[in-house]
Amino acid sequence: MTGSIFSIRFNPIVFLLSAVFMSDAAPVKSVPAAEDVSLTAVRLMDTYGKHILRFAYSYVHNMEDAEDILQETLISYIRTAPVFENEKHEKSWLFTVAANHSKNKIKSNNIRRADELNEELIAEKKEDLSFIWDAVKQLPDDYREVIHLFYEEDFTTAQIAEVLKRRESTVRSQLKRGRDKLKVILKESYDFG
Amino acid sequence: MDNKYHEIMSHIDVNDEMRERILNNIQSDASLNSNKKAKVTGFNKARISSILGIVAAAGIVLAVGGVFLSKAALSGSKSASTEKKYEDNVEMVTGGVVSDSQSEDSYDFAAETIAPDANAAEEDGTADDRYFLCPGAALAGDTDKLSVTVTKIQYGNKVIFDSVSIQEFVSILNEYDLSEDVDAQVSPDGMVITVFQDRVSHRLTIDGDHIKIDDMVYLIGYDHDTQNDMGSTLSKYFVSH
Repeated sequence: MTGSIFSIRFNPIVFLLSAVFMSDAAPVKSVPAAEDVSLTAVRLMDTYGKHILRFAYSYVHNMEDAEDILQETLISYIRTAPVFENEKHEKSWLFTVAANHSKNKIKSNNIRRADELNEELIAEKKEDLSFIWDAVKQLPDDYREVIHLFYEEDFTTAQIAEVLKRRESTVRSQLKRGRDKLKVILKESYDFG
Repeated sequence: MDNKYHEIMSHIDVNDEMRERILNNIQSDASLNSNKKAKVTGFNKARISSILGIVAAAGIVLAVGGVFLSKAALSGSKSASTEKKYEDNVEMVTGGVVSDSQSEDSYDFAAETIAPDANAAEEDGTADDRYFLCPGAALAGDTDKLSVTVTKIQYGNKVIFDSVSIQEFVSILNEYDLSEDVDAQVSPDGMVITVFQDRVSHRLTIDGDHIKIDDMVYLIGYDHDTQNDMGSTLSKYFVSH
């Protein structure tokens, strides 16, 4: 075990630095004013809203819960006020949080039954799409979220690994198994490329 | 499949009503506006006097620090040996290279739970301790490595300033819900992380640039291969059980 190597030691230099960084002179982020909260929310909504909503829907399969997850994700962002190197990093962060909120929602076993998407596809007489959506819904969660991020968001397997906090090899494996399972369900009716 | 799936998902969109509803809810969320109160209470006399105390203590600590620095120089490259110990089994957190010998079926990183090592905690008597990392400035002109401070949680929260590290750190600690287990708030003092007492705690210990969270060891610093900024690179070392 590594207990002796990683034991806590009092380090006065580190203590001093800690004290300095906890002073008011340290470069800190300012508290977002009310209008900042509003502007941030609008920016996030317009940039990522539909992406997060679709991702959430892929978990919960109903619009009301997906909307809740979208809202919770935006609130998490505003509360945390994370700083990112680029937009890609920001998007990954939002998807990670949205995935966590979705899984929590599912775990709470308080998911609504209505699948508006399926009803809409049937109403539009798009049976083929309804058939595919039904097949996707039958996939295990681990496969479905990988499939969604790959096909809908065009994420690379490395990006998916970052979002879902998995190894890239695991993501590749789950993507392959998800496709295979879909092929079985759809009886190889469609080209999966 | 690609086009079909896009076509299916195109039916799901944020309509005007939903947009307004969510934005109004966020705007009226009391907890989001509560930060403003923290801004007012952040600059009080107690805080100013504590800062003065810190400045006074700094002089003393600097003198003692000289002794410790010379000791550290004598002790040689302990951190290098630590790194060597784990270098055979390293993975970048951000989806990077996997170099361990385990097969993908036998080891699923996503399935791993980050639970406290109760036995180890009992052994060294730190079961109730909670620590957080606090990346600071580069030490002694060594711009390749960040100094890392681990501060003990005493009153349920502690100030951390590097939000990128917080984000990665929180995502490691808490794979599920940021708002339930770990709450991150912006205040005039920086980021305040609150861990709710009734949730699972994680044991954190530090040795130089290495942070051990439960059974995982992380290295924070500059990554020469990817040229990532300091603080944004978090290397993970698997610890043999």
